[in-house]
Amino acid sequence: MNFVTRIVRQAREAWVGSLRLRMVMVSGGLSLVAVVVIGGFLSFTIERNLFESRRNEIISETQSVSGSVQAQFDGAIDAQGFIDVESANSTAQTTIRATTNSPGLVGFAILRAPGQVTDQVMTSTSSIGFPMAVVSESLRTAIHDDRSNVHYQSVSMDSQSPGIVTGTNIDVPTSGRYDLVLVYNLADVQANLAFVQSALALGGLFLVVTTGVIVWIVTTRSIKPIMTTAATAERFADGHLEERIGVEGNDVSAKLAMSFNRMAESISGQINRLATLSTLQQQFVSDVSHELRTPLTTIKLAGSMLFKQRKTFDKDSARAAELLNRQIVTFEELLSELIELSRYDAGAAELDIEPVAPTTLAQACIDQVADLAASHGSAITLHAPGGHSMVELDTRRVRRILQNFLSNAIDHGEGKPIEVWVDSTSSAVSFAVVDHGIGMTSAEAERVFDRFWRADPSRQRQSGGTGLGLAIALGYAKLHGGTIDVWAEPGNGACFRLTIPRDGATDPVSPLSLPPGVNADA
Amino acid sequence: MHARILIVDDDPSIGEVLELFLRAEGYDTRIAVDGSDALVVFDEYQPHLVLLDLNLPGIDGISVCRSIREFSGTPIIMLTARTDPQDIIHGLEAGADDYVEKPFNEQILSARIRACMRRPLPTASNSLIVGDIEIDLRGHTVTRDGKPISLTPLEFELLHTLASRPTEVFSREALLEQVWGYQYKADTRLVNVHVQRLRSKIERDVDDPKIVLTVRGVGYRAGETRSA
Repeated sequence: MNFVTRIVRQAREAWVGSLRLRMVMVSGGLSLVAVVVIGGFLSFTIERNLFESRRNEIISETQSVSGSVQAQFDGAIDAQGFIDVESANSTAQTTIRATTNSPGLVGFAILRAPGQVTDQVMTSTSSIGFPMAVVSESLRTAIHDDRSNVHYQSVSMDSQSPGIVTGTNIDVPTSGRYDLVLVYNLADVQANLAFVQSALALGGLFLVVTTGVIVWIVTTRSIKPIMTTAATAERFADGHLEERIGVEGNDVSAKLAMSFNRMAESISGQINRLATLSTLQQQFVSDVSHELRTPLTTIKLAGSMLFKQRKTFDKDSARAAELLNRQIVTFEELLSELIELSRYDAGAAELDIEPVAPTTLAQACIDQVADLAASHGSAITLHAPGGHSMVELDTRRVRRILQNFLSNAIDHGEGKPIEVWVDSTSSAVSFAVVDHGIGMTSAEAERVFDRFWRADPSRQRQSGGTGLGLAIALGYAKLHGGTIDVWAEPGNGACFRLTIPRDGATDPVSPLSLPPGVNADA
Repeated sequence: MHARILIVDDDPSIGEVLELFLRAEGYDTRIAVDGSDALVVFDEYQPHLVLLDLNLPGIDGISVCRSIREFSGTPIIMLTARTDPQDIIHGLEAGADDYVEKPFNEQILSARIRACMRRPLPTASNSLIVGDIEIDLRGHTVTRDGKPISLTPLEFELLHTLASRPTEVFSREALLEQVWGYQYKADTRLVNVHVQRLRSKIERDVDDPKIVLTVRGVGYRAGETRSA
């Protein structure tokens, strides 16, 4: 059953999937119908003609034989009106043998018609092996009812081949009426017909196959430009923007090729323009960021010297030095994150992989922010169902991601407990940070990775943060081939989950649910 | 006498503010504004440490670093505004001991300077032997079969640290803390590059090290060691 379903499904797929197959099947099917109709008609006509001509031949032969036999008997009467019927009968048999030349004569018989009283009786005779069984009563009745004509009947012989039985009335002087019956076997006609039919069938089959092949070739030729276009479009979509189709002639396929080429030209032009623009913009951000570093170094050193000596200043100047110092720190953070992002945008970032135990890494990150968390009133706990063995990671970048998760959780956790989850499978390692603070709406959660996007501007400004942290975190995750998933509910907190594939696994399932612990504890 | 620091930077305002800061910290300083100037000033000033900007007009910082290393093991700290990781690696390979990225924190800078110029580790014995290498702790020299091998103070310190506790495997973080004086912000490339430099000087076959061994996933340890 399963096997059958599979076959059916494969056939369906092949049918839907191949235009050529469909074309060949349809044209093959239609030509098969045509061949059957025409062949059937031809076969029927030929059969009729063959049998009719043969029948007519047999009937006329029977007629002439009966004429000769009748003459034989009539001539056997001597001058005294006496007849030796038995010797006349034997002469008649010789005459029959001599006058029949049609092929297929099986035998003949001279049978006394029943129900007569005559002067003398001639014994019914028949040739050796005469098939008495095929001579029906109805034929003999017909002979008696109409004595002047030859009657015939189609029969089936012992060997299953068709036959024909003819009969006519003979009047034997003094002995009454007799039936002259001839039996012909039409096996040779049947053989001829079978030969013609098999030739027709073979020819028909050949025609169907030829049609299929022709349609295959024609379809292949006519869809070749479409296939070429499809393949080129595929390569184009894969980023080979220089792919074009060779144009030959001036027909519809050449038009297709030209239109495609024009479209490709226009698209690649647009893409190149955008890419150039984007590269220029990235280059600009990168250049600006780097150029800002040198003056910032001076500003920073000078600012911190002023800050250190602020006690010797008057009150206002001291406050100015404090403000200056604090804003320099913010400015520097922003700049370093911009540089980090522009490096990622430019594709210049490379992973620096080393083996590390995910739990150790998570614990180190927790230790680093423990004091800050405590000052906000949040306790951080580590749940590690797995992730104790070594995994190849870019430690610095994963640490950055976790620190970002943690500082967000502390900022928005409203002093409630924070959980860090770590787990791994053979194909992925996952870190998740869960807080139970103000949370977000799903619309907000969708935008958290946008650059400089802030959930609640007034709140974020207080707690600092550049607005680039999660954008960088996502960039780092992607650099690992991984991803970051977000769960959040207003008033119930938020969860950020980092999943990184191991050993080149593609599209791994995260070992942690979102938010973690829900399935495991339930 | 104050420790002397040579500042090499083409931006005069950075040079000046560094000078202000370092003088406040108690160092004696000189400024060079380009590569050739740096080499000239180095010769006559004989600094204890060089702060070297990588992005210099004329001879660039990496070439200056390489030139200094040809005749001196004086600690060099790179100042870099470029954050291309390759630049930092090139600088370390050219012989710089450490680097700080602009804009740097003055406390970090002063910690690095102190770490680079600090006294060598106190030692109990006079010399250590690792494989076929003999380390003379008093004379700060390393010899193989009586022939001296020239190491920078940092490389000597790295070898000494590994050899002083022969059974111990040092993580890269531990080495950063003990040799470079880092408290946090681990850039383990510093260790990797300097181990490579050290190996290229002391190993007979760099691809099959016998003196400084890698313990995969953990760090490094010294080869077969005994006290002399």
